[in-house]
Amino acid sequence: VASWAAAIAQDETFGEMSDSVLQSGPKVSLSTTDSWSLPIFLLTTMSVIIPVVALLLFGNSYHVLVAMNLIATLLLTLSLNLVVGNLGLLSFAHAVFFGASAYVCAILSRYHGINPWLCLPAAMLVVAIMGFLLSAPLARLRGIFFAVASLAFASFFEIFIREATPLTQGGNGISGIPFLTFFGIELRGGPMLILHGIVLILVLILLVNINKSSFGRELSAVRDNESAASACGISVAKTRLLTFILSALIAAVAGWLFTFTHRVVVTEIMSLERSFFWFFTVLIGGPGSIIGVSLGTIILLLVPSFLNFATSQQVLLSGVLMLAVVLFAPKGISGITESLRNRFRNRT
Amino acid sequence: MQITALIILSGLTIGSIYAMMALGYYLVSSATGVINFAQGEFAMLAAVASAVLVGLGVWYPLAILGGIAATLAVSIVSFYGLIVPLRTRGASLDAMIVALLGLTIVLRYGTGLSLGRAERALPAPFDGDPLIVFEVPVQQTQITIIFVTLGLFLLTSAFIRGTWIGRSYQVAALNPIGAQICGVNLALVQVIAFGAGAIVAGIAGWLYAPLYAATYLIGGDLGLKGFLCLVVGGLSRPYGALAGGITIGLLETLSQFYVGSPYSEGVPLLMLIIVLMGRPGGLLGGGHRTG
Repeated sequence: VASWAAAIAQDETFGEMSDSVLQSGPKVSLSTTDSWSLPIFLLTTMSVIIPVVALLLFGNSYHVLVAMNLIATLLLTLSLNLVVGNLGLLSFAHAVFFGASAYVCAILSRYHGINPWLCLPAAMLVVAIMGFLLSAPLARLRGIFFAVASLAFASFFEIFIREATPLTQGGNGISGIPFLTFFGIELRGGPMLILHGIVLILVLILLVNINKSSFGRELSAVRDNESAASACGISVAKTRLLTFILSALIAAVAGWLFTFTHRVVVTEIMSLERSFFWFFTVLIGGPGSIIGVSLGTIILLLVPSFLNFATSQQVLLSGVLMLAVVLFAPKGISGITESLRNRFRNRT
Repeated sequence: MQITALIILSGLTIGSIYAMMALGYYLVSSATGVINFAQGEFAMLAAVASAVLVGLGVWYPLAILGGIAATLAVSIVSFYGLIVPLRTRGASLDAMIVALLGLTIVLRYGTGLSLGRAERALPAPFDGDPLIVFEVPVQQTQITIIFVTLGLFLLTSAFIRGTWIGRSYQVAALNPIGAQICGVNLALVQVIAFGAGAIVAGIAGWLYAPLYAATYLIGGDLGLKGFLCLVVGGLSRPYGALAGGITIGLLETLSQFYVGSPYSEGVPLLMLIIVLMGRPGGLLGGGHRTG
């Protein structure tokens, strides 16, 4: 009985104004949280620059490839985290955004001779429209219904890509995609890794600082208590829509990087396996926590790469870890690091 | 005329399979409030395990029973290993959903790795010459599937209305605390519900596999279609699942024939999205919103 009562009590959070809502009344800017924090800026940039430089100096081409793969996956999990952590939506639609961006880039650059750099805005435009179209009707759904609807949408999109052969080459995929060039230099290997690093830094700066903008505070207010947020004059629907589209755009950037790194696009890049893998990675890392999700991605991607796991083994590993996290560490890796930090603080 | 009859027949057959999947969801969710995403994987597990046993030369009925028993065992282990600890902790609904998605993936790829990823043939229970009914050839498999489905639905309905456990089932769904006060052993009812759901899914998997093949990947589609039928039919009564299953089965087969293109695979998926958007409680169900 007690467990049921607890479950019911958990549901009845209505009327409980959380701290963030109280702090972040609409358009009330708090100067302390608005200020640009230099240490965090240095920390985020250095945590990307140092490994990238180390790899450029000491790594071989395989390491560089793994690192680029890691960065593209990080962009995806971070963008998914925006939706899972902030909107509480269990979304499987990100594979669609990633895949759509990759296919737009591939088709435009391979068959229409469009400069690979110009493919990025084109892909972002297409994905933003898709995100808008998808989020508007799906905004009504919550919990498992959103999960299933986005899963169905992802499967449908995969079927579409596979069958729309004149446009996408179906199961054969598109190969022979040109390189990105920078003043006549083809970006491959090291230079491409630098581009990945720059993009990652920009996205991290955006994500770290989003909580400091008025939009970010509206977002956390909506996350914690929709009723209270809308009572404070925040447009819940608009905030959710913008977050969803922002997240889709980051996934589109990941798709762009992926396309011009591997220069082959096949339907497998948006398979259900990968969706589940990204989704579990976010939850294992701890939704809402940038550090947790980044650590989760690094562990879940690097360990299988060095053990030479096949994709299905990698997905199985993420599933097993997912069950372990749900059972034993509900807040994921971010929860573990937090409790370690607290223990450390108490000791000193 | 004959062709139309054949299409409708095969729609009814596949619809019956989907209806059984939806019935499995219904059995679990009505007593536990949990939409068990892993139902599709339970069906897959029963099919693959039976096919492995048949491949080892085990007598057919024994192999099928073995496959379903293995599924039942896995479902009970996952109930006590996953659902019960989460319930005791008072975990959120999202945590439960995520746990079941995790279970889905672990079962799918775990089966793929342990029992092999090859496509196995699982023979149908009765596979003789087709019967001719009004000049329409009716496969024995189709008859089996349709009658097993009807039997399962009648059995479920009798079980829920006529037995003590069945009635506790309904009470447990309506009001868990009240049910416990009235002496319903909630834990027992829930584990029976979970097990019954797994058995029904197992039967669906056994009958579905002969139509295609038994591989570790068949669970995803079955799970999604079953969920679709449940949503179309409504979560509130078992016959909603039957209606939903038949509707989806017929629509799928008709669209395969008349749309004709490979895109018809996507028709049920589109329907799922549209139905979810329009009526989160299902077409036949009332405003019953779960999840």
